[in-house]
Amino acid sequence: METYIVWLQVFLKQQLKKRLYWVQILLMVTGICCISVIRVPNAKLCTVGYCYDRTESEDWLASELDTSDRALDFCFYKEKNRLYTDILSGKIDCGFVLPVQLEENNVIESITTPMSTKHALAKLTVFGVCYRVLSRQLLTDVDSRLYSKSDEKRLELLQQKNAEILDSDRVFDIRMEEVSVGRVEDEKETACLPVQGVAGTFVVLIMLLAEGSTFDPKIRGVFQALSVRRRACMSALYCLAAVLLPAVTALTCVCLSGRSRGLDVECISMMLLIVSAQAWTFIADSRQKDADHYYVLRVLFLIIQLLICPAFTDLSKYLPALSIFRLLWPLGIYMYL
Amino acid sequence: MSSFLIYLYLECKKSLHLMKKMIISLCLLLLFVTAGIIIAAVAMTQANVLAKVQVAVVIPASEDQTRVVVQFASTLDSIQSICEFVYCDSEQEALHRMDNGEAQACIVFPDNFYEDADQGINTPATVYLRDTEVLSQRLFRGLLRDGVGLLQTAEAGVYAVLDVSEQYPIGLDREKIGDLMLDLYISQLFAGSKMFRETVVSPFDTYRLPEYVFGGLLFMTVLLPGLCFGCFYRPGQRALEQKLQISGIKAWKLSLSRVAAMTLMPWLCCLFMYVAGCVFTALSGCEVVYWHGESVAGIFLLCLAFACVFHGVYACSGNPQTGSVAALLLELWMMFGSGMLIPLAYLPETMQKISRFTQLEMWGTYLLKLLYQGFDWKAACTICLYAVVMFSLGVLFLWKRTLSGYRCS
Repeated sequence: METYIVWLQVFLKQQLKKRLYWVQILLMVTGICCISVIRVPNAKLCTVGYCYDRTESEDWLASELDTSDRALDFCFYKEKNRLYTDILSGKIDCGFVLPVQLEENNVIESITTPMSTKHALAKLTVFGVCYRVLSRQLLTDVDSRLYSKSDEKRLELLQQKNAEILDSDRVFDIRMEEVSVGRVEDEKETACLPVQGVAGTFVVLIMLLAEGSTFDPKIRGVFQALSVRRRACMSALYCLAAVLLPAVTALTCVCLSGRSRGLDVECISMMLLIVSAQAWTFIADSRQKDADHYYVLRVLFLIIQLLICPAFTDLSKYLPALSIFRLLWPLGIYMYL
Repeated sequence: MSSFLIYLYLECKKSLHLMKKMIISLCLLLLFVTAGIIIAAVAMTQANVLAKVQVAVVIPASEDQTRVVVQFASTLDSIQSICEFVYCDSEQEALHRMDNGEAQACIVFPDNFYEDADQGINTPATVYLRDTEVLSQRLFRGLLRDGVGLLQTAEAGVYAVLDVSEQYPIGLDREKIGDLMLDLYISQLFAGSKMFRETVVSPFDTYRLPEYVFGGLLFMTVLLPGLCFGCFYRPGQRALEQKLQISGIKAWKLSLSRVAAMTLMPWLCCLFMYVAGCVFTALSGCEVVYWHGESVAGIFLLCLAFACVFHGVYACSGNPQTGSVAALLLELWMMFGSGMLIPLAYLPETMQKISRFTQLEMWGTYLLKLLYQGFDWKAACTICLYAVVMFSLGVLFLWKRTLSGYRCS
């Protein structure tokens, strides 16, 4: 046992001396950080931005749009450029650039993307609010058109009546009733784990790269001199040494990303990942004699895992058998718990 | 010169032999990469599909005008984006549909609805909603609220003028005032669409999703064979390099031969993918890519530039193992930095800045423009600059290595 510990220490020291090893870890951390902040727009996004010069105008819109009982969440932007960037990056669904003062011939710029699903509804909501403002202006125009003499008191009465009627039950309304139904089909929830997917892929990748370096004639020569049992142990220790630090780093990154499944689950999953990845690399190594082939196959191995495991999309929705089949793969085991 | 040509021929032969040897692995790789990118694109599209609310609408047989109004309303963008109307004969049938899960909401119009509205009597329509609210239903509720809000605004305006006209007579009868006001409000309602000027911003720039996906696929096809190029830099090659130096093949000629050999394999793979894309367009009718001779030549330039980059990486690394690790890391960096795997707009701002500063995005821009808009000189110059720098680096390292080899010997 002591021999193995010494070997592990030696392998670990050897790895730590490699500059490329640190580059791999750095790249892994960058990858996990990137994936945890990437925001791809989805149908659940209900935020709509709007922008206008608040300093020069009264808040004619903010009070109307910022009410909490709306289906969409409207948020105010000070800068038009920021609004554009956030729409483009999928942080908000769509946006509107409003004129300083709303008049009949004014134009509202509506910004949308091909991925937007709430744009038409948001447009209706914004128009609804503008329609109220325009209605007040229309009443002022009508007053001056219908009556030859202008009268402040009459105009005030007209606006007051308009506001009163709008809040009364004189205007058309709908009666909403809630019914409990027998069968409810909720919108399908997808349980994808992109951060864990990327972290797991990097850990497996680093292990495969370490295993690939055993094709180096010098290392291979040393391993070939050992008995089959010891060779397997040494090979496993070599991979373990290579993956130890990246695994701890990945675990820390996942826990800090805010998308962790709990420290205990993440720790157990990572251990299972390392064990299963070791088994896979051992099989791959014993089957492959050619380094060139091995480079292509390990990429293939990673791509297959990313496809069948719920890292970015859960294909088991369409192919239920995948949920069992992926348990044969290291990433599948890692994401199972 | 003849020894250089022979060496060039041998390196190209080696490249083709490597391709033949790994044809199954390469095909599998291309197949899975294709599947992966298509699945990712479909998943991205699916994630944006909002489940529409099926609304069972009950309109009494006598209410022809109401039916016309509802049918007109159902063609509006705001309504079409959220719900679909299914017309039912009775309230029981509509509720039964809700119970079966065939409809998520139900609108029941009463008898004489249109007549009542015309006379200023507000008989409310009944809307049934499920007690468990999902997102689409929440949006439907918002849609109803906004739609009713528009009607209420118009109605309140008309009633306000009518009320005031009783205190301050105008000289027109009540009905005429009502019609006049209604006309004004309806014309303002229809002018609503002119009020908006639409600007569409896309993370895929001016390209459609299938175009972007195909561009990404071709980009991966150029990148991935780079992993196999370690065989050109095996330790056994050093002795050969020294012998070639003696025969007059200097480091730059050696590099040139290797770059040529490393261009050949990805170019053939890309050509295969490109033809496959054109055939797919012709057969399926889905516009993915069309054949242009210019694109074939442009892709060759891209492969050449990548070969130069890989040459630089492998030559600097010293041995094929380190080289392949460095190539893999470079590929990952290029995939993200070029914005061909995930649009740059979705990446963190820091990464976007790095990508723009290092001009990595130009690699993707070059390929997409080449396929769909024509040759882009600016992007071509950028990638050529990268290629020249990396090629020079490769030449320098090869030259240093052969020099040190001489010294050792």
